[in-house]
Amino acid sequence: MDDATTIRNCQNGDIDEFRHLVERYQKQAISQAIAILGSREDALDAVQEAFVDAFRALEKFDSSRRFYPWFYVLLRNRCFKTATRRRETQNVEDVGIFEPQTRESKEERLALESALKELTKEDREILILKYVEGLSYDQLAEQLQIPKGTVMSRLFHARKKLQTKLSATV
Amino acid sequence: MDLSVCEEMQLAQMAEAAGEESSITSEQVRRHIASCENCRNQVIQLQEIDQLLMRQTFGELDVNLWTNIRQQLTPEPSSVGWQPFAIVAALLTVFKLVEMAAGAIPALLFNLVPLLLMFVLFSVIKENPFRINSNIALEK
Repeated sequence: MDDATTIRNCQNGDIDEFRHLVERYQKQAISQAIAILGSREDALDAVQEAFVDAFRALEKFDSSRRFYPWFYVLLRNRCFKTATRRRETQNVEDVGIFEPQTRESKEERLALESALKELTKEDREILILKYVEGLSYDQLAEQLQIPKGTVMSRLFHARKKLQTKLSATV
Repeated sequence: MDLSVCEEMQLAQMAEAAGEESSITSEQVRRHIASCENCRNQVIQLQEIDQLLMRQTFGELDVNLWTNIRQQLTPEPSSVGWQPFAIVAALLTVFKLVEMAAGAIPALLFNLVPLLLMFVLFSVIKENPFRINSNIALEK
């Protein structure tokens, strides 16, 4: 069943139809929330809250549009709220972002994660969406709701900042 | 070489490496990088960072959030038992028996006792007796 049909069923009162959207997009949402928050635990909370927000706003959603870019705006807002709340209440523990791979790459992964956590959430987000998630410039522009030229510029400067942070740890 | 030109060339190289279009041609980028040591070094370092990022994964995100989300989409059923209602019913019964046994017209405050009991009941079960339940949906 496609998204448009699922959404129309939800708008007609069938709550359980929303399950299809959750199961279809949750993994993508979780990985992209991790990109912003740098924490798996916070990402899971933010994604759940974002899906609830999406359900409550669904009656105003135009089902001819694509669901995930619209949903991503809600997810992003939730992640930013979570990040603000976390900054105000606690210190972030050093929790890994990425899956440990080979033993030989552990140091470089840890250095990368440490450098990424020092970036702003916007810089971290665009770098991970582009290079880890593999989104194209057009997809980034649609998801972040910015022009393609801005995508290129932000990506360029984010890479430079990451390079500076990584150089400082070597 | 002017920094803004170098930045433009590096940005164009980044786009080209990602398979994206740029306003600057490949030939212009190649010529500039060949002639600018700073850009050459920058491009090499930034490509290494790109490769490092591309090697990372989030691993298997084997979770299903639906159960938790579903609970939040509908209000939880009331966990109030029958005990508060039984207590109030017993007290109202006692009140009525006292009223009947007294014979004389009771004082005004005495007549407010049932209202007071209902107020206490709804406070205990945390419900608003005047709330309209907008979650009721017609069965298909």
